[in-house]
Amino acid sequence: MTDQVQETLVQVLESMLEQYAFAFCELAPKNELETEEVDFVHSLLTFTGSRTGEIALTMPAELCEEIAGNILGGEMDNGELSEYAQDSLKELLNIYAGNVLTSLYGDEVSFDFDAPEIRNLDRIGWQSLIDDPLTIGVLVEDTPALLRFSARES
Amino acid sequence: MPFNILIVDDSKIVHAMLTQALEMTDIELGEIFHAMNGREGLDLLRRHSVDLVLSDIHMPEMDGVEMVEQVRLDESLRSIPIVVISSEGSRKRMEQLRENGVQYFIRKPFTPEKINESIRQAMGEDYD
Repeated sequence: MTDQVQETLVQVLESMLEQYAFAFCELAPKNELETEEVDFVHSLLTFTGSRTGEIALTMPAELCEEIAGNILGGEMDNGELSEYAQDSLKELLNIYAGNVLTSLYGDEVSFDFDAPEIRNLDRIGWQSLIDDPLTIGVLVEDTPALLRFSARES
Repeated sequence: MPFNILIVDDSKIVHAMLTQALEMTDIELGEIFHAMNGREGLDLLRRHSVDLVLSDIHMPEMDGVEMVEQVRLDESLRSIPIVVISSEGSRKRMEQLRENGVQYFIRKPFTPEKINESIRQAMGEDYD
């Protein structure tokens, strides 16, 4: 992955989080991704078209709830927010995928997306994603989150 | 006259966001119907009086492109305005939707202002 691609991946994520969830996001070195959290949510979307690939976002479960709260406003209790938490990450991934693919490859090509898959991760799963060379670390509202992107020509 | 609006999207949070956005506009709302994919959307359109559809593209079972095609083939439904709301920015896809009579396209992430503006345009004279 070139520095330019990585810069685009992070810039689009920053922009989408700000617009979608009023959340601040910045690139973070991998040694700053330590967290006390034990429950994480991993969302993965595969796409096909002129290129085939995968985009994944992973974050602590609590951050998903915070994002859902930002989106839906402060009138919901924690029970209601947890109902929307995983969905808020899936939708973020959907929005991110559409926008980042246009930023990387232009608007002349179209892609088909599979519905994002969601699964829960423990700390071991979180650490193995950090160790993956394709993973990019970010801080979302000062909480670590992970972005992973891969694509090849179809 | 209140408007009945159908929201078609496979994400529960998008239904909540769009409902909130609609309530923030100055549109006189009637019923808001909810469908999780194009097939459910078509079924609701055939059973209820709907003035406007807000639909996603990528959905399981039946996607937004196929639902729009089916709506345009149905004499009783083809005049219902459809606003497509999607994160996709592909010109090819937009062209495909335009060929099926979709004139209004909102790119995600959306704002309540953008929803209001697109509904005004889609409803034309009926809105005033």
